[in-house]
Amino acid sequence: MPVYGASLLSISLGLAVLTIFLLVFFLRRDDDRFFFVAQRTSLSVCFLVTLATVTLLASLVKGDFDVDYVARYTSLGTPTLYKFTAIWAGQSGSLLFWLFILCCYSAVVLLQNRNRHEKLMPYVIMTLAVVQTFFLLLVNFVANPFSPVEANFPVHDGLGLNPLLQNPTMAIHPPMLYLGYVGFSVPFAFAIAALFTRQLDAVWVRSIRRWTLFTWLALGLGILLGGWWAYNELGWGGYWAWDPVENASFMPWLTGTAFIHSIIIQEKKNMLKVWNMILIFVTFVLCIFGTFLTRSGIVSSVHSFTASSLGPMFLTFVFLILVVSIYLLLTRLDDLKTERRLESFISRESGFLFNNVIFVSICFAVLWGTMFPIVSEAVTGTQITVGAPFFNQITIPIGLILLFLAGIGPLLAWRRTSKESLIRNFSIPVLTGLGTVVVVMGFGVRAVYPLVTVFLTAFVTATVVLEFWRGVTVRTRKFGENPFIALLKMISKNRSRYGGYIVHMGIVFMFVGFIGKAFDKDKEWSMLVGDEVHIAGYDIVLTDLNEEERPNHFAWIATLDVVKEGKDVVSLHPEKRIYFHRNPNPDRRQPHSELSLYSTWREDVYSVFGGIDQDKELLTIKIMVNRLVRFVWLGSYLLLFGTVISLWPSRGFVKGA
Amino acid sequence: MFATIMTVLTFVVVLVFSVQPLFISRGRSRSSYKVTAEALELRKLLLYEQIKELELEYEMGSISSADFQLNRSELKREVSTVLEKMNSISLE
Repeated sequence: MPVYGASLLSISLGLAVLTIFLLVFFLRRDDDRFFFVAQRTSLSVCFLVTLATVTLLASLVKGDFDVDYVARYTSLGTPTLYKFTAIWAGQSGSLLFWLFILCCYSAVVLLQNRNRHEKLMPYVIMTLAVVQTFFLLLVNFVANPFSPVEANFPVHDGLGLNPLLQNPTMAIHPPMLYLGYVGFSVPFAFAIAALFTRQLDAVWVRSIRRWTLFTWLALGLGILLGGWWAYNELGWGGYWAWDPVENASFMPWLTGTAFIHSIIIQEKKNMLKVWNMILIFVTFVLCIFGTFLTRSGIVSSVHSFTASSLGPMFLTFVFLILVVSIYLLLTRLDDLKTERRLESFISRESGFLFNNVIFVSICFAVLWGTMFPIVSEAVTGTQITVGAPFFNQITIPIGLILLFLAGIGPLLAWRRTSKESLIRNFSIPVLTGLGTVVVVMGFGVRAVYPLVTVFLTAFVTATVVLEFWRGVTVRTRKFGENPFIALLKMISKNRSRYGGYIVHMGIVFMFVGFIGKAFDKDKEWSMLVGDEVHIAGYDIVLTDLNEEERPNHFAWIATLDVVKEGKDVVSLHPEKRIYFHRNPNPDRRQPHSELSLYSTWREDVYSVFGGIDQDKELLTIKIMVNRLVRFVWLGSYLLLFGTVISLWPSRGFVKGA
Repeated sequence: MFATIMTVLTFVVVLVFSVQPLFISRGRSRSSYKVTAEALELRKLLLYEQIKELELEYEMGSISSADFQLNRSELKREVSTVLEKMNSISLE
């Protein structure tokens, strides 16, 4: 099995390199046969990599412990689901998984465009083949997932999967992130093709619009699932910690979001051609850079893989991408010149442009904060850590400006907006925002940021609701439809527009959730059974402590009765677990706190069993009362729903989109 | 042994699949006409989409009459330029 897997990867590498040569030959000789062979060799690479991935999965499930990767990340006791998910638990397996997704995407691009974009496709396939070659080099020569185990005795069991990764969310979060990271290769390949062929009109932009949206959605969902996992599994009570690896996924999402907005301008107004090229290059480079940050070990993070020799190879690849991209961009500047200029400061075009500037500014701030410890260490020899306060101080105000722009965008007309339109469109949203602030102040809230956020969330909500209401009114008046049918038809005929508004509402709900952070409470106690503690109006009683031996761990289970104003609310059962508890080597046993949570729209009561003094039966219990967290998850659902609506092809759908 | 046989078998299948097009007669070179026509057709569709969107916004009362007239006449002018170009390349 491992020999077969390794051979498949070697043949794939040869075929990927052959694809590049065949395409170069085709472009020089203009003989279609070489192009058709290149298409087939490229499809063969996809097939072989898929076969290699299936081979590794089979080894993981079967427990081929003579394969180093299998012995490191699974054991006889690992549940079957987590034997599958172990494929992305380690360096080499996850690189193969990256490559597998890239191959799936490449195959779809190839098959989808068999008879389309004749001029662009050779360059698209070549660019994808170059990226495939890079990852094939890694999995063949640097981190081969089929390497045999280095032991001179038969290995009968493996080390097992990290308990933190034994969570259902972990079965979805990494693939989602990968779908996002890898997916940006496709728009990047089309951008490179457009530059090579000088076919810089709206065709390439239209060709990748759906790809970009899908990829952006996958990356966004990956990030949100990571937040969900952190909140429900790690036990520190938050969903975002500005960890370098989290930031690495957030940065391409930011520039990708800017790109999604700015390609609308190129499609509609033939403007921002250079800017769009820069954005997609930066986004792709950030995807590779993020992969580098996670794998090189240069940043310390709970999410990163151990330090490896992959760093220089990734940096070289990033450098090559930058050199080629910048060269193509500079030599095609004349073709990228746009005939139009911004006509007015108060127009939808400038709204989009400001939104782009803001997204890129946040990305730059996050990049600076992420890289500062490394830069400071290189310059001064001392690593200066940049923590959450730095990121919050910079990104909160900029994020609020972004929220404001999400509100005013739909209210502005293309080209220029007259004063009458401005007054008519802004009055209701502004009054709604101010009214909501007054109501919230009535509840005693005086802090500036929460109040500004409340104003903006109400303002944006009003603009979106107004847009829907006006659209429905037009249809009911014009076609005599009932409001519900009018709403459905209106959305179905303008999917990208109304899908976009639903995504904006998702972002609004997330901001509502972020407001809650300002009012969180937490406290830690040492408790004996029978003890009672109080936090944020809740009385919490430790009523029981049990022990349980389970297949792959041992658990102490606390029972905490939560009471509010004399009424029983819920019983929470946080656990302290010891994974690999039967291992004779105590260093190999892994403690883990499994939290227990009671969630409502207003707040979550979040309990963590931190530790136990077995002699005194004294438990360390931490309780957090986290406000409005559910709104963050509600926002995620809306983000998903809105993007799916935007992605759904309408009847008048332009081919190639 | 089994792995070697499997590898050779996979390699042969992939090779046969890949080299097949070499045995067909040499195809024609790609036409620049098709590329230009594709771009113009797309531009035309995008402009029609924008006109529809503009009309919707006007009916919704989101833009004033002056903004609507100005934008619509500009879009219509662009559509006629694109149509002229499409006619001229189809005549060539």
